[in-house]
Amino acid sequence: MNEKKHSTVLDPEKASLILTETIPAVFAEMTFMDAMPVASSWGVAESEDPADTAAAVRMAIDMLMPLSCRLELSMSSELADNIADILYGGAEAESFTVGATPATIAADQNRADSTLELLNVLAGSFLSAYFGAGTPFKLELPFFLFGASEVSDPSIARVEFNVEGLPAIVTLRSIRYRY
Amino acid sequence: MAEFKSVLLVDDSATSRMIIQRCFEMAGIQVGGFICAENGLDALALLKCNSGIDLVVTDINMPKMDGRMFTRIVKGDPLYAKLALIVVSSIADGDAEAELRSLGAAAVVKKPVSPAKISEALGGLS
Repeated sequence: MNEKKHSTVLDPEKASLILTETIPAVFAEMTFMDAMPVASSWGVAESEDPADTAAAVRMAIDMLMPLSCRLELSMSSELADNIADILYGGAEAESFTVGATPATIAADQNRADSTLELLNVLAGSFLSAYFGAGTPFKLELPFFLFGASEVSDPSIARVEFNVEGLPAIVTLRSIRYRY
Repeated sequence: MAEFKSVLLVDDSATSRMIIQRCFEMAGIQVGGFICAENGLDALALLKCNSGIDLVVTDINMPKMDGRMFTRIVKGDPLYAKLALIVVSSIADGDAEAELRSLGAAAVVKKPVSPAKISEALGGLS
């Protein structure tokens, strides 16, 4: 294997730029939606917790190689519904309600699975664009985040997007494993 | 145009399986039926009891048994020597592609997948 040597830390400015470029491309290819970057930041403390804004759905994927970091995707429930709607068709994509019938449970599963798969592809595209072809990657499986305690690690880069009128926030974090 | 009796789709994401299936349809590839598995382990079991499968499309990053191990086992088994296998993954490029091809994958497609990418991958099957 012709393994490349990489810095032991991510360059926040480069990471922010690549997120700004790759996320709209993946949204367009997978969901046919326009994701316009509206704000990006790096190397500064987060001004607000994304969970306090419109981010009702929050998920993450850990990247273990070539560097350890976490990519988080936060979005409103409405945007998550719209993504499932586009991928699965409107008839199946109903919002989750208490006392769910089998149809709404299936719709909720569709929404969960489609947003997690979107994040998986976003992470792969980010890694390819950041490190280039020829770099061995290792990704964990994507998962949902619940609660503010999950966001304690520092943000490396953060980009906010307007996805056809709805907000989405992508945050790249360093991760400290706690065994 | 390519034609398959039975295609085994191996991906833990139902969304990904659905998108790949749709890409086959949009690319005009005739498929008698799709069989789905959520990981390599389940896929191995399905392969053993479905002799009609003539194409496998597998992801890499999956629980229980990942696509690398699955590809290694399948293509290392003389029983499946002629079975076409392509990999579709978000992390399949560069050296990963070379490794997967050395394991016996006929083609490697990077997600997000499209009808054109699927057509191109299947076009290379002998």
